Amino acid sequence: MNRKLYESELKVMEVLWREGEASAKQIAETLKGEVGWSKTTTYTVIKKCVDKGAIERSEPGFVCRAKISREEAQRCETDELIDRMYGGRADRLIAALLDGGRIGPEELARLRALVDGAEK
Amino acid sequence: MSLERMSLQASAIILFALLARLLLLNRLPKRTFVALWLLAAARMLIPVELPFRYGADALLRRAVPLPAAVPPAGALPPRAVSAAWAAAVVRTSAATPAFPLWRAVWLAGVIACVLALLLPHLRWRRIYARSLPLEDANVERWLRERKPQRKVRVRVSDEIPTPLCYGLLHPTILLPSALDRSDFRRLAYVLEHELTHILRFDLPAKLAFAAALCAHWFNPLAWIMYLLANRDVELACDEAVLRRFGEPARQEYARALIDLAARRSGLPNPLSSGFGRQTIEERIRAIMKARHLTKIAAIAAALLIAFTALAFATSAEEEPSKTTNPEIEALLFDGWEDESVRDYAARIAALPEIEDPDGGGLPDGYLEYVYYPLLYDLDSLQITSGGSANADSGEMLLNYEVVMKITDPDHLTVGKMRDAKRGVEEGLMSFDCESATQEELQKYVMELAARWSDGETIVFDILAELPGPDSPYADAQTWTYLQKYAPLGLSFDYYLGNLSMYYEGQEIRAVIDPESGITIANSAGTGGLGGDGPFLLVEYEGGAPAALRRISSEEYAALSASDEGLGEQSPDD
Repeated sequence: MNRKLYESELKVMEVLWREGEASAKQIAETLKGEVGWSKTTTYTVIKKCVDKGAIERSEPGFVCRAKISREEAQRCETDELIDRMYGGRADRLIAALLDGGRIGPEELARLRALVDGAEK
Repeated sequence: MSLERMSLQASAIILFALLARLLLLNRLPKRTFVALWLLAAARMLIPVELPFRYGADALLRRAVPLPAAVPPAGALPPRAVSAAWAAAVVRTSAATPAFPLWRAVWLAGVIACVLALLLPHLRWRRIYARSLPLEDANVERWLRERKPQRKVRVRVSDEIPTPLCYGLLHPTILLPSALDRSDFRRLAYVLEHELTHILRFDLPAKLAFAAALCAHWFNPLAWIMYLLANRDVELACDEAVLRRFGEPARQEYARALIDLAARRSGLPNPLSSGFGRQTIEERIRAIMKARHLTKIAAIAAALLIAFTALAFATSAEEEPSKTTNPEIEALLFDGWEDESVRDYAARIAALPEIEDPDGGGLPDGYLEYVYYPLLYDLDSLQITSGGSANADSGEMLLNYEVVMKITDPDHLTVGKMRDAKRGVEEGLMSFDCESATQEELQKYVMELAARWSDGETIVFDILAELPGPDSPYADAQTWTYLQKYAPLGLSFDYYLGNLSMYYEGQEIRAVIDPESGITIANSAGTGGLGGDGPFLLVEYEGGAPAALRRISSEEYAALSASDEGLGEQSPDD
């Protein structure tokens, strides 16, 4: 994976993460219903994913398979966010999340456990 | 209608719109200027003449009469045109005219412009195509409350920096994923701006501006039009949004605009509209200056548009003749300027025979005065053309005859010949016949001939007169007598020394005045009936000419024999 994925590319990845393997045609059909893309649009987006190393295509039938997992993609997105918005410091992101009140007491407890585990 | 003519008329509209914009930009609804630009674009793109008597084109043409190859109705046909020119010309194979250079250059420019606009557009279209549907409570609320008159989709993309709209048939508002949609009011500004573009059909308008620019890339005013038109589309859009939200919103709206501008990056799509595009500074300034538009301003705007349309988008009623035969059209002088007259003549000779009596739809007289002469021996070619400048009453003010000698057909270019020919004709037509004297005319034509002759390839001889007894080509005594007979029903035309006389619609050969002892004969051979028309006898009563009577050749012979003193007075002598 060499570059950040755009939302359109993540949309294709999601289909693959959900369904494992799929032909380009199947992806196009799925996305036509979900987001209203034409076949050519989907194909070009798949090609971009292949170029970025996120999708692997194999003969026969150009079956597409995700080369990166959802978690990897999420990590990549998070890294990018931290770099862009928080000067590369993850603690600032956490602080922002805590400030924003988006983390409830239960989640906070889970976080604490995670941090404890990481320290040991 | 030719491209150059369309460009010229559009230029007039653009100049006028520029002036109007300079003076009234903040006084009239901004949409007025968009309408003016659309008018210019339409004039550039639609090759239709709109005849209107009082348009600028018509007025200009009336002020500066065009050199007429054939004089207007009421005047006499041009003389001294060799009848041999009308001889049928046998031509063999069809010409395959080379693609004229200027057309190739123009086409190359058009293609370059189209590509320059289209390629980025296509790249953007692909980005729009992979946008994602948007489910957002605020957007849905806005759609519910606003109830757009056209079906509009709202989608998101993380590949665009600022909001925009696209889709001629299925309009879509595209929001950047990063746009904060939580503030409903702010979101409404953005959506309203894009919706205004959609409802006002700004996208097709922008397409028209771009197309006009591509076709008229050689016209600097087209570039100005393109830049200002796109700017004014945004200004008009901002204005409409502000009108909807009320003036207090303007600061908030301006701030939204600035926020978006900060995000802007990359090459904008020249064929799309967007909330955050264009020169932000100008827009902000216009927004802060926005004031309530009065009814008077609206009426003034409508009048301004109507005036511009009528004054500048129309043509004179008398159309320049249109060419219908493409082969002949390909051979009109325009486009062959750099070719030698000899090569050009060869092309004419290679044309299939023109059977159409109208000259294949050529401009009036083109066949006779331009084509046929060139088919004769070029090395000793003299082309004679003549005509008259007429007053509105039909009275002749100026008679002329131009002899154009081509002395070196291999080095004379078509362009030079055309320009010289036109120069001489226009020079003659622009002479002020009404107040000038005969001497001034003679001096003027000498200078005119000298100006357009180069002594090497082309030489002009010009004869011209102000009709009257003092013309160097007329006989003063003859004039005096003719004037005396005119009240008796004799009409005459005394043209550069050539006399034709008419009585009761018939051309006559001579007028015999026994009392004065003179005979005035027409210039034999020039009139249609010069050779065998009747004679007229002047009959006296109480010592004054009282009537004219037709007499036969026998009577005339008897008269001549009985009266030895009857002298023959010919104006040619």
